[in-house]
Amino acid sequence: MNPRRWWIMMLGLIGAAALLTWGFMITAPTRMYVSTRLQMGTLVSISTWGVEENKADRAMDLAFEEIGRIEAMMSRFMPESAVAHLNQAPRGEPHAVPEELIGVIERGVEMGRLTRGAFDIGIAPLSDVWGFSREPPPEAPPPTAAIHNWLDARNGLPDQGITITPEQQILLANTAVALDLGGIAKGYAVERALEVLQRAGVANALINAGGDMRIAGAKGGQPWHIGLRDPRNPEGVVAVMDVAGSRAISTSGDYERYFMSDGVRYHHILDPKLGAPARSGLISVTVQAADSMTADALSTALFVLGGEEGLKLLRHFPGSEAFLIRADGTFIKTPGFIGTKAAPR
Amino acid sequence: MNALLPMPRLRRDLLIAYLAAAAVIAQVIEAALPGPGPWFKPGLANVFTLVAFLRLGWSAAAGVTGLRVLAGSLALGTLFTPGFFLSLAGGCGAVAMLAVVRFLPGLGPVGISLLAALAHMAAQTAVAGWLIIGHAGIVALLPWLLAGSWISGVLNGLLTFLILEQLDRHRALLTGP
Amino acid sequence: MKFPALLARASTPMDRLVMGITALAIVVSGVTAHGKPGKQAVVFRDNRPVLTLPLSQDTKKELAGRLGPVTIQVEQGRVRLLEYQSPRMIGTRTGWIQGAGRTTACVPCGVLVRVEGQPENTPDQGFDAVSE
Repeated sequence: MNPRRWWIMMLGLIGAAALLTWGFMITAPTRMYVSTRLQMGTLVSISTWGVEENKADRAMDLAFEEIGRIEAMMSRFMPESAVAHLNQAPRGEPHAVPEELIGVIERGVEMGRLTRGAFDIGIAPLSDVWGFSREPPPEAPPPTAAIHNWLDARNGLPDQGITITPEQQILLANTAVALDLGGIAKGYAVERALEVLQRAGVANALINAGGDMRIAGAKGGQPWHIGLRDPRNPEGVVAVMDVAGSRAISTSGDYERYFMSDGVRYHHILDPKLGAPARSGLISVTVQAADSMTADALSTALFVLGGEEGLKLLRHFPGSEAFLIRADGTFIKTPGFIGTKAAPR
Repeated sequence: MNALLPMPRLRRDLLIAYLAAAAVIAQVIEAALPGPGPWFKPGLANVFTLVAFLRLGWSAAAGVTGLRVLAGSLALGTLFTPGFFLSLAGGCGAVAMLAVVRFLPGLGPVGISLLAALAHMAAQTAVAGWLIIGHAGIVALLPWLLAGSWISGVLNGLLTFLILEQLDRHRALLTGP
Repeated sequence: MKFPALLARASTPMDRLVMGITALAIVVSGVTAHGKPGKQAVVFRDNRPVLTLPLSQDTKKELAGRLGPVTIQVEQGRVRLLEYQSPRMIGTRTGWIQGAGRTTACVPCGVLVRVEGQPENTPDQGFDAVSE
């Protein structure tokens, strides 16, 4: 065979093979890639769409790293965290904390003000009295005296006893005040994690961090298909949310951490005014908002305030929508809430 | 095909239509045959595409394929179903490969048929993995599917060779491009 | 006519070269795909992989969790976490898992089990995620 012809043929074959490979590569990213880790005391799942596997993996690793960094700063359960140091610091004098933490505390205090105390980032001592973070969980409520002591110590403190000094330091009023950033730090972490993903080239992502969800983009033109947990059936789903674009979703329920005692359900969402689990008649609150910190603070606040008060509060947050489930199973949905009740199975 | 032979010269578009009709018949018969699903069909219809390609050129092959995909799915009642899109994807893949093959000298019916069959299957599988959500696992089966295509590609190539041998005795009917 | 003779007559040298190359490519890709191990579950302790269990082998393995031993059971191609009772043990709620990419976990124990691979495009009862 003519050698020149042979070379043309080989080049043609290689070209055809390259064309086929390229065809596969451009179709490959229409897959979802999911990664899950245990962080911030919960399961954190990140899903990506539209980038190929290696890129998705790298981006998700960076996002988890960012969440880990924030957890190491803001978890009160990590003895070396900035929040743990602040909580151990002597009361009555300002304490320097990282600038990033100031921002989150500022936001928490602001949400506390706007929700008239229903949302409160300073109730770590009350949580400890109740012991919901203990393992195994408690089996009975604490003595009422312990609760009253806490309520008395907190009585009349402005801004829930948390002051940010002009020098950007934190002043905690007394030992009844200690930070439990909980959900708002989780909200901050998922916001930052999303930024990391986006900087790594992932435009379509879903981050689910146990109650705090952050969504960006879509799934190949389709919205993300999200279920809302049935508060009384851990296998079931009560509503379906098909969400695309930038959105934060946060759910607060009485079913995540609780114990039963004498037929009463004691759950982990504490009403700072009662010093006890909120009894607002709601068992599940889901808030959709523009960012996760707002969504998380509002879902907690609405859960504490109840349907009527909660919806009034929501009016001060344009763009935030809610889905409230009452103890009898009936629900309230604000007009702009993206989602429909799921068909019973 | 014998019915066509006495005619001295057939118009090119009529020939394309005849070949497409034959391809549709082959496709319908194949669909009726029992088999292990749509993946391991011998793809006899492609023989007529190859005849068109080798004697009338690439555009005729594209025409036969297009007509076959459309008319075949009309006959089978699968128009615009996932099966139709798979068939369309396979056809496009094969026709695209034929476009490349034009620039590869030295290839005969067997080699061309083989390459077209592999491209057919590759395109079909890519679309199946993409279009039918949740079936991305099908890509893992690709080597098996391609092995099947390899065999049917070679067999169809031989068949094409035999048909061309017959046709070439009637020079009036089909002449080289 | 004998088949090899027909093939010899019908194919050009280039045809035979293409046949050889494509057959080789298919066999190589088949062998690499087949050479991959079967489905397995990876057990993570504090997000570090500590154990890999093939789902084809029924077994029970005990692992030191943060709060005491956690048992991981593999049976009939499925895997689950056993014994530690806690409302926050997501493992008890998920029960058996088997699909690629599915996870089960005991959050307070710091133990996460994940079936290797990526999930289908809509995992977990058809939802991308469940808000809870």
